Amino acid sequence: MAQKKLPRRKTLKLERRGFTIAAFESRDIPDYVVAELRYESPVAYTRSQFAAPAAAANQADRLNSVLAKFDIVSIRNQFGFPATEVRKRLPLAAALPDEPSARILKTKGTDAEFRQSGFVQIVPKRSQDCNKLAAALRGQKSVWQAYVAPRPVPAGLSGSATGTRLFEPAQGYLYSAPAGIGAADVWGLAGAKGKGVSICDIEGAWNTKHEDLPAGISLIGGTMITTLDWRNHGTAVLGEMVSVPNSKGCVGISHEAKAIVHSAVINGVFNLAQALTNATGQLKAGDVILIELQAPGPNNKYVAMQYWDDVFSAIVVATAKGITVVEAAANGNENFDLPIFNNTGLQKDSGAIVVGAGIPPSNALDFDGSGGFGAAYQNIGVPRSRIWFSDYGKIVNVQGWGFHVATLAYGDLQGDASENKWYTLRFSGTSSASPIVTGAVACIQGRSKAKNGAPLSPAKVRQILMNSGTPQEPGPGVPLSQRIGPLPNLAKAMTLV
Amino acid sequence: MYPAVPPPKGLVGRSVDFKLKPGWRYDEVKGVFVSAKGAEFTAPRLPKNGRLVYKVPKLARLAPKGLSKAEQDLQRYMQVILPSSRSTKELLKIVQSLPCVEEAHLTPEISLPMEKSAPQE
Repeated sequence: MAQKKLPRRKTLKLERRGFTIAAFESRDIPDYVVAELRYESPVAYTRSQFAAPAAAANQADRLNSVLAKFDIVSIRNQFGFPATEVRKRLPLAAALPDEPSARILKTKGTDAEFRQSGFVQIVPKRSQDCNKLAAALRGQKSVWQAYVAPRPVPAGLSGSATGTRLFEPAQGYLYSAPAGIGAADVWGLAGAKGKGVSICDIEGAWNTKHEDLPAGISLIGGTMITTLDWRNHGTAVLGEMVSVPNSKGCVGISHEAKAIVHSAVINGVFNLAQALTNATGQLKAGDVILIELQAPGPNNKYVAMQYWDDVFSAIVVATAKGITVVEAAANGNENFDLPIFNNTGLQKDSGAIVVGAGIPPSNALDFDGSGGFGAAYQNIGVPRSRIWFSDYGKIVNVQGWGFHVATLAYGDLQGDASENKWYTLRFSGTSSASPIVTGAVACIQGRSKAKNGAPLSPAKVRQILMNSGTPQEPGPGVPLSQRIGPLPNLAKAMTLV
Repeated sequence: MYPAVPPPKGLVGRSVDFKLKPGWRYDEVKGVFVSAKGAEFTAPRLPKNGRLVYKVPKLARLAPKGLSKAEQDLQRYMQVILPSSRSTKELLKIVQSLPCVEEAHLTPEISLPMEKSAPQE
């Protein structure tokens, strides 16, 4: 006997009856007809035909004449009873009156096996014959009902071991304010998906072949770092902003924006100033640069990259050209307003939008905890309050989710032999917060281009985000004086564009 | 120090960033620093495969006139890249002592601002 193929998955399909599997075809299982004999019909069946005692021979003959019109592969009991078991129904059926009541059936000693013996599975050679066969059988006196057997499908909406599921419901940052930034609320507005805007992510590595990223994301400069950690990180960042909207994976906040990438590694070492300048040279007013890097400052805590003067100047050059620069504030739990930072880039306005990390609405660690910082399921604070590791200060303009960001890469949400199909629920840090804001900027600039015919200045974009955002909340040990700014609210922001 | 995703070892610890004093430039062909008045002195000898480069070479080659203040500032940044991190700190002291150098520091040890690495299942 030939080995049966596994069900084949195609695409999800919306029909009148709901979402159906379009998906699971099981071609090697034939269609067939189920005929239920009347209780009172003393008819049995073998593998090739119906049979009956002399008194009811005409009933069997008529059924066989129906079968003769079709090419029948097999006849068997629907419940797997052998022919010897099926024949036991004959004397009981012969003793029943027409259309017997439940009481009579009980009196005569019929049982479940008797009732099941009347279900006949008839498999025609051609599946197309099923409907005609069922109709012909329904016209027979000895048949109570006949129908084409349904083809059951798995009750899952989509996804299986053979394909990627849809993770958009896990992307809470897309939702309406105050939980998210209201990205989905504004996508209906012309341009508000980031159309016509380019985003350049500056860090070190990306998997541009990920299944949920658009084709054509190019490395415009620098050398790609080859380690998996860095590649996961860059892929996750891109995923938040430009994941392709379809029936699988995630969807990017600004999924109609064009993404490009620049590595900060030049001549074998880090040179962010040159990466920024190169990116600035290749972008135009209205575009966006994202700085996804940090480094230890004078207190040996991580600080934003504009602390270093060359980076600060490079940001000033970019913003003067009309390019909005979004910069991670860094994960040092550092206060930028300390005297040690006087006269440094951490107390001056470079023109960038500096992004802190806030606590998301899912304000507890998951089963995995958080390294040395928290046990499994530990509460991590008040939503939109400063998360414990985020830097803060007067130059920090807005916040994004610093935890539980669903996006591409890492593989804790969906793993696979190929990293092109990896997804995560746990992207975090000012790393996860900054692309949320970058995506919001691209939506605003795309909308401004569509509505006003020109992008806004970087300063105006920053002002809109700060003025329209959902305010930062205080939390235990993290007062509002530890400023990270509001969470963007695109629905409100778009009214100011 | 809060957790982050560190870079591969070879990428950090083997370069020094510095800023030239106003008016000074580096003549890459001759390997000398030149003041606004034309005074020259030879750049310190570097180990084999060491390099002395402008951080933003495209801007460094342009005349300051016509550039913005920030662009003029960017023109003055340079980087010394060593083949290994063995002598970086000694090099930093040498660079800091050069008469044309306004400020010098080890290139920042850049990492990724992610709170922690999600486990790969």
